[in-house]
Amino acid sequence: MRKRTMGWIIFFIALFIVVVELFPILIVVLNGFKKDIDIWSRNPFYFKPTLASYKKVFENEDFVRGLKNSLIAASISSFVSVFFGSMASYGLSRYRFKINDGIIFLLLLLRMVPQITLSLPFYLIFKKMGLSDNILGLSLAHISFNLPYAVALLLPFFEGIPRDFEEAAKIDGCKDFQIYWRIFFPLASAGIVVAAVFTFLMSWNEFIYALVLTGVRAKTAPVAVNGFLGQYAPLWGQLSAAGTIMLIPVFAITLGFQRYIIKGLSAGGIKG
Amino acid sequence: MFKDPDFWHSLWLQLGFIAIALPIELIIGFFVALLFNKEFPFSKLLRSLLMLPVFVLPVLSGLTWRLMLQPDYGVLAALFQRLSIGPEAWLADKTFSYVAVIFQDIWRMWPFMFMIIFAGLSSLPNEYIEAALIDGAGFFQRVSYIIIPFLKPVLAIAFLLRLIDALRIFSEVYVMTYGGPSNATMLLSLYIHKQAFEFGNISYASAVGTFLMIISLAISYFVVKRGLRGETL
Repeated sequence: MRKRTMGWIIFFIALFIVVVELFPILIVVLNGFKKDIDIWSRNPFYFKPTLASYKKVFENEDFVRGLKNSLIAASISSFVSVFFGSMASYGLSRYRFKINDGIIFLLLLLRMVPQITLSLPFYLIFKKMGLSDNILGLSLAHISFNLPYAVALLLPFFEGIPRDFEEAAKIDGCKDFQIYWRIFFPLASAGIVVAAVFTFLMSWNEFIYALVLTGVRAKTAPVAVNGFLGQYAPLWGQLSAAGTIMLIPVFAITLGFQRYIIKGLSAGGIKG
Repeated sequence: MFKDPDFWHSLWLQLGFIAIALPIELIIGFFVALLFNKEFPFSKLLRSLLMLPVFVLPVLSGLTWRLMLQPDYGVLAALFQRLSIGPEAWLADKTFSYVAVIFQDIWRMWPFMFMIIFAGLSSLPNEYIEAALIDGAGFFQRVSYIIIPFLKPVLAIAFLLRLIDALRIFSEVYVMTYGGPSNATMLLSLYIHKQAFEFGNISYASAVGTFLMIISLAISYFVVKRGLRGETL
């Protein structure tokens, strides 16, 4: 009996912590259902829900294009990173060379280079190559942090597959690439999905490269959301609505892939 | 670069930011992890909700704090006003904009510490605690003689990962204050961005960028080395 009461006391403390912690997120979501004018002119607790801001957001070309660009950049960089990253990871885990540890070390280290530092050479190179304000260019920049991340994340998954599978496949006459594609790729599918989802998320949330490397055409949604601050008066209602839309896939992924989050985080941080 | 007072200013701001925010995040994360290590109803659900802020888009997090701190119609501004803490417009005040930036980071990132520490804590063998209880150890004795020594590698990794991250913080501050007012929140990454894209000083920005990269990589070296030996989670 005493233990149960204790449990409920802890529950209420924990609930309090969670409520306080989620308060800012609640603010965003609620403000998305307010009009800009009501946010400016009334006290913060005034709330009469309306979809006006959502309507305006979807009529806003800049944001809709940003959403599309974000989807494209995140899909491309996630796909390329996982496709080539899984091959690299497979190779590193299956073919033991002395240099492997060095390569892994370097890859993990590359993941830690501050993005603001890398944005400078990217900016100069892309300008020369005609890739600035280009969604492919931006995807390429996102691959620069997603690819090493995918390799690092997938390594333990590939290492966990028993060697016998490889030998059995060889006896059955599989070529090297077939071993990878037909046997290891499906066996590591849990890891592949996790890598795909997390690389997508990182690209989706990314801001620095999008800010520096894109202009009007290839602008992504986070930059467009920031654009709602406007020149004269911040359009908080639309900003919040747009932000809430951006949060939907983020929270879906976070809650859906909880089991892997610690693994995902320790493979080299989640944000930049 | 080393003769540039603005660079030194940014460096000190950056170091101060790290020195204040990270220990607080670590401490909150640690104690909340201890709390969640107990059995209680709905603990799993609350735990999952708690990690959401870590994944909120950095831009949105910065903007939300900016909204909450708006004088006249911001929720937090109204609250602080009632408690008469700080000035009316936090983000227009040199000291308080810096405090706000740190608040924002603590809000966003203590759950990160919490998650890593909690994961480490759940691998702590129960017998250790039970044995200590039989020996009559109090709460603080259990924490300082059993839990902290056991968690040391986990705490170190959590701290170092956050350190690398905090060194390059950019987006949140960029949208919250843009380094202002009058450079009061001009952290290193923002200074680099400003030099490169506002003043067109790409070569100078690259110098500062390289400096930042060298520090980051020096710290990363330890993280990665531990990770390779399988000491991470």
